Amino acid sequence: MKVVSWALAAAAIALGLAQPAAAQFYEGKTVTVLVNYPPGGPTDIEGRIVARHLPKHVPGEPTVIVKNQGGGGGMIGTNYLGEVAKPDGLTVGFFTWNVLAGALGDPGLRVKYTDFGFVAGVANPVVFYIRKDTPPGVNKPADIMKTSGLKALSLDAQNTNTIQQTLALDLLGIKYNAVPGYKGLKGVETAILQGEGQMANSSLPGWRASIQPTMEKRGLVIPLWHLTAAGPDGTIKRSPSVPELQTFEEFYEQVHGKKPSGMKYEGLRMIVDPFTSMFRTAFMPPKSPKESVGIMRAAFTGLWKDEAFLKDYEKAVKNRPNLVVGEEGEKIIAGVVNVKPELAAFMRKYMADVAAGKN
Amino acid sequence: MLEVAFEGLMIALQWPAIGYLLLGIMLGLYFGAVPGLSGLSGMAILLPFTFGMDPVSALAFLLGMYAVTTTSDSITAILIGVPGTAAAQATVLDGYPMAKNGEASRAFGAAFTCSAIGGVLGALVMGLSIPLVQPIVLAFAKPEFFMLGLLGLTMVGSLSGRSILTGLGAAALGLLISMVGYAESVAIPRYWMGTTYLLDGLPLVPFVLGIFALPELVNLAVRERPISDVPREQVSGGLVTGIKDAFRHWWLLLRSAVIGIYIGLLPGLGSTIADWAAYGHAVQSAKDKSRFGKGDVRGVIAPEAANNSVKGGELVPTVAFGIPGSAPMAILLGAFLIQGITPGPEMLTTKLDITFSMVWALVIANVMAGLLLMVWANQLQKIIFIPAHLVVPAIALFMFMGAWTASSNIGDWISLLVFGLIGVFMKQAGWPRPPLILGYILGRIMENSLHLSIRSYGWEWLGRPIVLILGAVIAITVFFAVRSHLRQRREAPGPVTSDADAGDPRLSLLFSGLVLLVFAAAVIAAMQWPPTVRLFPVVIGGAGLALSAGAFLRDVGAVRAMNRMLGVSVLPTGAAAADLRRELTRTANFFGWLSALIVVTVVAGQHIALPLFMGLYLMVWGGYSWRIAALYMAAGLAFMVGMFDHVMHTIWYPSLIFG
Repeated sequence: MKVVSWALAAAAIALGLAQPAAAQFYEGKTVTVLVNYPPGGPTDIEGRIVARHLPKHVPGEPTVIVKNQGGGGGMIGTNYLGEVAKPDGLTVGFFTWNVLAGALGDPGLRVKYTDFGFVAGVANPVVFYIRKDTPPGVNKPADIMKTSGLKALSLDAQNTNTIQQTLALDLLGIKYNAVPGYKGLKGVETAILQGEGQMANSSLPGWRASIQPTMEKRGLVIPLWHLTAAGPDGTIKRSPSVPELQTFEEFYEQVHGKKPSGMKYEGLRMIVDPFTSMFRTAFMPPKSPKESVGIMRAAFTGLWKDEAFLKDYEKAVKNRPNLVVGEEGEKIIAGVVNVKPELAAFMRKYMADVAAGKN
Repeated sequence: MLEVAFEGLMIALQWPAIGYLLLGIMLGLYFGAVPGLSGLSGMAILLPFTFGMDPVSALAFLLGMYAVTTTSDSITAILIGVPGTAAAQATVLDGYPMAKNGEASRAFGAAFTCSAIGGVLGALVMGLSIPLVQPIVLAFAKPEFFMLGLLGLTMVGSLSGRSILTGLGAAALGLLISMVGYAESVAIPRYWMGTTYLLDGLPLVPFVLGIFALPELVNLAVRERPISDVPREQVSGGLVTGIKDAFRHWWLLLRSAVIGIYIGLLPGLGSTIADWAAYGHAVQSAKDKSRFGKGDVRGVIAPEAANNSVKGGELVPTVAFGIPGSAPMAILLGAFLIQGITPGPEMLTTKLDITFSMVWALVIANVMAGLLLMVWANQLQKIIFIPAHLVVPAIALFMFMGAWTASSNIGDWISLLVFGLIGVFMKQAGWPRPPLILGYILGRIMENSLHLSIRSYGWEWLGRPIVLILGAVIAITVFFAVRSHLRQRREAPGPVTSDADAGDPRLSLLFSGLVLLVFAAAVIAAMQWPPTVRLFPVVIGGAGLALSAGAFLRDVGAVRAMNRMLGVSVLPTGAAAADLRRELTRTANFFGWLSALIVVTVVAGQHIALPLFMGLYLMVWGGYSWRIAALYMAAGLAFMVGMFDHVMHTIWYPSLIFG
């Protein structure tokens, strides 16, 4: 009896101490949100909205500031968080991560995503669209199958934006000409508007905030399909953010009468699953104290229940994005870093072909 | 239409919008005046504050700030030769020499007047042209962009410097430097020397500061004279003269403003290029070109009118189709979306009053900024008469912190020093620096446009009508430049007398030789890359090889001619030799000090290294007392903490001791 009550008392003290300890730890401190793209881009804008609302959700209400370290396709900031930032619980990276570099390796990426303390990720599907005047005319998605002289525009050849587009078109068996190399999704949109090419794909915020109002509503383009992450049971359902659009898999089945399969499809899922389930990711430096990572995870969970934050975030991204935290997110990251060697080899070859215009 | 325009004015003048507009203007003057900060960083810093505002206030706040950064950025460009933002690079070319001639006030008068008028013109054109511009914007696709870039380079390259060979050679070198980092199409890094710092390309700010500003700093430290070569009592022509200059050259002002607006309309070019295009045009269209680069007021008028008018132009595609013309416009677009404003036809119909309130915000901001700065100009211009050693540490602080904001990496400072050395070398050798910078700025845009043109159209793009027209203009530019150079050589044979753009032929020979080697090495290195990656570097390298070989041969001739004139010895003798030797030693010494600044930073961090540099410089180079040095150090440290720790949240170098 005595032992039990002692134990209870000790536990109570421990618990009692743990709470104020967390509060004490962040009280009066400054937490830095490190963004791996320069000021003004979409990653930065979202990072700044997170930073603005984060203090309320961290015990002790620390000051939260944003620092940018852009360059190297986001890799310089990522390296900084991995190699320079101190694991003192006071730095949180808010990144657009590079799935292909993480999976296939890249001379510029010196850290492993699995080494970071994973805090949270923000889900986001990808929408494909096409100009209606693509010869001989596209009025519904299925019309893409009989187009001629289709040019598919995208970001640089090594970007997920390019590879997920060429893989999808190759799988469908459409004749097209890939034109990668545009700077930023806005650059792609401009070129579509100018008629330099006919089809492209964009993140959901880009679709909702820009392409839909300026191009779809004016009758210039129609949406084709969207790519979204598989659920925990491995099945692919329409993303709740775009219930009105069919998935790529639905479209494929409609056209070919069977489910997509093969190396190219595996490659497509290898990119799409991690990238759309965690479009933005929040990390802490390697070896950060477990407690701080836990506090930050709780803070992000709190943020996603905070109406004021959601309203601001929704304004920027034009939909209510889903949050991925904890083990689910850690599993996704581990999946990227530990990709099967034969799939990695296939993808490296495929990407080289796309870059050389030989796919 | 008039009624809506008036309605827009009323909305813009309403409280609290007008209050936010004024606040925006004050902040914008500050962001423009401090090198390293710019309209872009201002937009990024202020955007989160607009979330809670009503749409008109939010836009007035952001536009008020953004409109005037290119008015105040001429302050440092003129006074100390450091452009306040990238848009004032061309202003340095004649603005700083004007300060050296003691005419800082006059340059201010011209610059602020032209900025205000240019900005207002840009705003008015924006208001009038939104409904008309769609065909213009849509007609300029990638092939036309490539040709525009080529035209810009040939214009600036063939007009600056003594020889079309060095002008175009420097442009090719700039293009080559822009190739550093990941290739356009494939993630193969080019010329990156194994450092992550260079993977994403060489940042603009350290490069420009190195090429243009550092040589002037060295000059101040070594020659020990105030910025102005002319004592205060002998200065003629103040602020009013400058204002009159602007009106006297009204036709140039107007044309430059139109150039700015046009560049703004084309997405992806932006204000960094507008000032150069206008400057190039001013030189090309002038009858008497001899004063350019030595303090010609026309060299201030053109870029200053263009870099403000460009902003009205940039707003047109942003508002009308949601196509941002530049990075700051992309942020403004973010603000639109956050405010629930959708760019597009709506802005010309139901929301026309908001569109007009933006026009008025631009007009008010430009006029206010011009007037405010004119009131302060007299105080500001005193800097140029202060003894050199008192201003050198402050300029060094501005310059190093400006470079640091590029990527917060020690590589920023190393690039600053390396390109500073190259800048000093080019200046002495008489190689023109403007085409180098322009080549660097346009390189990536041109390669990207060329690559996409070929991939998208095959070689058919060469037959597009606008491409053909631009091609003809390029051919005409080169033809006239070559003809006038040949004519000049016939009329004025023999070595050129010692003025700003005539360098030492022996140094020029050395530089041509080095550049020749660099191009050769670049072509050899490029051979192992896949075709899409090597296409552009090989073409530039080939052109650069031919141009630098031509310059090399010409320099060999010039050195021989000099030897014949001077007799056997090529080396200066007597007092001149002693002077030269002293200058060289001091230059090397100063670079040693700057290198030490980097070493101390690596060991103990910037909060120690920079103030220490300032204090020691004052005592050792300037011979000032420790009291003045301590005061100076405290002020410098306060600036670093106040500005960069608290406003910018700068990431400092993780030093060995304090890491």
